[in-house]
Amino acid sequence: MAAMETEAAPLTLESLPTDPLLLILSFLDYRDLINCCYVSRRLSQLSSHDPLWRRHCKKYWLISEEEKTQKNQCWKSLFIDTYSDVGRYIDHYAAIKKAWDDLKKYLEPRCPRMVLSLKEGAREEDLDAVEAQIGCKLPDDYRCSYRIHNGQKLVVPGLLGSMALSNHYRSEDLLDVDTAAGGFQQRQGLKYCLPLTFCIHTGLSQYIAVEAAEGRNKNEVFYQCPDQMARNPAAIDMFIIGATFTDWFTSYVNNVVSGGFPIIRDQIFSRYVHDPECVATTGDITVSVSTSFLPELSSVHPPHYFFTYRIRIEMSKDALPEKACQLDSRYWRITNAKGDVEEVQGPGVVGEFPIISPGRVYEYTSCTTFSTTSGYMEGYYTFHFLYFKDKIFNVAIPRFHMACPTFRVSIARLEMGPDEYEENDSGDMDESDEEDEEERRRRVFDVPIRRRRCSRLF
Amino acid sequence: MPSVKAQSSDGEIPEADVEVAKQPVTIKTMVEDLRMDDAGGNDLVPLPNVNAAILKQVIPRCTHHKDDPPPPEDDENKEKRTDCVSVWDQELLKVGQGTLFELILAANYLDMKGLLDVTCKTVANRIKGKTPEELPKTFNIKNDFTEEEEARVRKENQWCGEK
Repeated sequence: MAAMETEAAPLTLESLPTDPLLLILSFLDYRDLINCCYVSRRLSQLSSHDPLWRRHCKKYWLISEEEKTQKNQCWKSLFIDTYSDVGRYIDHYAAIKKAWDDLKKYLEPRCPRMVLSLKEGAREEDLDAVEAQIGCKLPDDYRCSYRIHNGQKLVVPGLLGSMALSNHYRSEDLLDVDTAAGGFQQRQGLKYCLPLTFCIHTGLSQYIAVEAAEGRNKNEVFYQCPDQMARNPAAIDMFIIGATFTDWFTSYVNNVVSGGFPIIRDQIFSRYVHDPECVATTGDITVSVSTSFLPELSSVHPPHYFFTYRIRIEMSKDALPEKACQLDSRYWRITNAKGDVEEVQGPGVVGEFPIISPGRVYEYTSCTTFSTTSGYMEGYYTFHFLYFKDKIFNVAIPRFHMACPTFRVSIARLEMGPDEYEENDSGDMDESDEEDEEERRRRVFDVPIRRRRCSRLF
Repeated sequence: MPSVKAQSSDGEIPEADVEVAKQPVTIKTMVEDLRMDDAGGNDLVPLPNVNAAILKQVIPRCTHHKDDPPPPEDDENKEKRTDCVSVWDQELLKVGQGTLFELILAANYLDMKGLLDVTCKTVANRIKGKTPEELPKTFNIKNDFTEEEEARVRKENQWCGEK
């Protein structure tokens, strides 16, 4: 801390030459810069030196040179105008705007329909009206995002990704704020929960807790999972997929734009997460796996965790033509978290016997369930060469892990008496008497993160 | 080891190893232009704008940082941080404002980007977080606004919600 020194020859901040003084000011945040404006004429003038404001415009509002030229304004005035509009969100704006910009840039060439379905931003008044309607404040980062885009029209494909299996289809739309308000939950088990997404096919929503209640932290984003054994409709378990709206949205966008989710027929097949290390090569054939957890087909009570996996089999384009081969059968070794092993063997894959030749890619989807929160699979395919039908060989399938997201057991269940729920016969709920009362109350099952696992779900 | 003598504004002549002395670009330019480094070491580099006391602080810093890579070009897109002042420099700069400003002037005159950067960051850190009332007191600055000017400044900056 500088003492209040008086120097013999008074060299003050004010009397420094312009260049070093501007350099000092260039290290200041916008608030400190404005504070300097109040001190003296010279500081006021220098604090308003326009190039100083360029950095702040870029950092907080992501304003580009092109935009500035288009708007034909100076940097400081641009900063102030934007602040007057969305200054309340200054701490969130850059992260959320960047996520939207990255997402749209990535989707425009690949899923143009989805980009066209995005609605333009809501106004402050609209958001205030929703808060009045639901009787709760909306999180600032949520508001910030909805100022940029007010969700999407309820169409397919959904911005938050699709999932397709033979008899099951889900596509999650980002709800606009009014529709979301209509779905605001007041009932026991989902108090203060606002839907973020909706799927027309499954009726499934991801929710955000706008207030802390019933064991939920404020701003958590989760999938609901009704406790089927509790005989109490308020008993709703939750798969947590984000600590805040920003966390949820930016992680999703990062997964999309980094190519983590395959785009198939202009839909984002989200939730298929591929661990780049989950690959096995045998000769010229490479097998890679992506997995996905389906909360809508899973439950904690009873413990039933549903995963799909998508397998990609490809042969190097440089392989010799005589390496062409056909898949005859598969062998799987499935292990759950308790160490129980199941072996499965059978002809073909999903009823097919694909032919793999140089440069050819074959992909298919299948599914598995575990009675534990995680498990892994590995195995091999047996092929025969097309031109030497008697020569058979095995192609390894890399071990891939599946684990459900962190979930939280409903408060309703924790508060129930023993006669109010069916006995649950799975071993992974540790109901020993030595268990801490505190632990029992807040039973968050943190699924261990394995470094090499194939599925960072959600 | 070849050395160069610098003559400060108050006549003193601190001596410095020529490589160290060439860090300040001003001196480097003088030394090379006037071919002083291959002379007998008796020529003096005049520095009328820098007093001895300051020069005596600048030289050890040059010595300490002589093997540092040249500071990067100012990248408009990089975040400007003030928390990356080395511990050694922080110690050097635990001085009163007056000395700090003299160091800034010296660094500016001698064209020493590294020293200029750390001294300015240090001052910036002393500005950060202070209110418009605290700033004039800390830095001994007189408010020279007229009433109308002051009102205008307040109005122009009320968007920021302060004051």
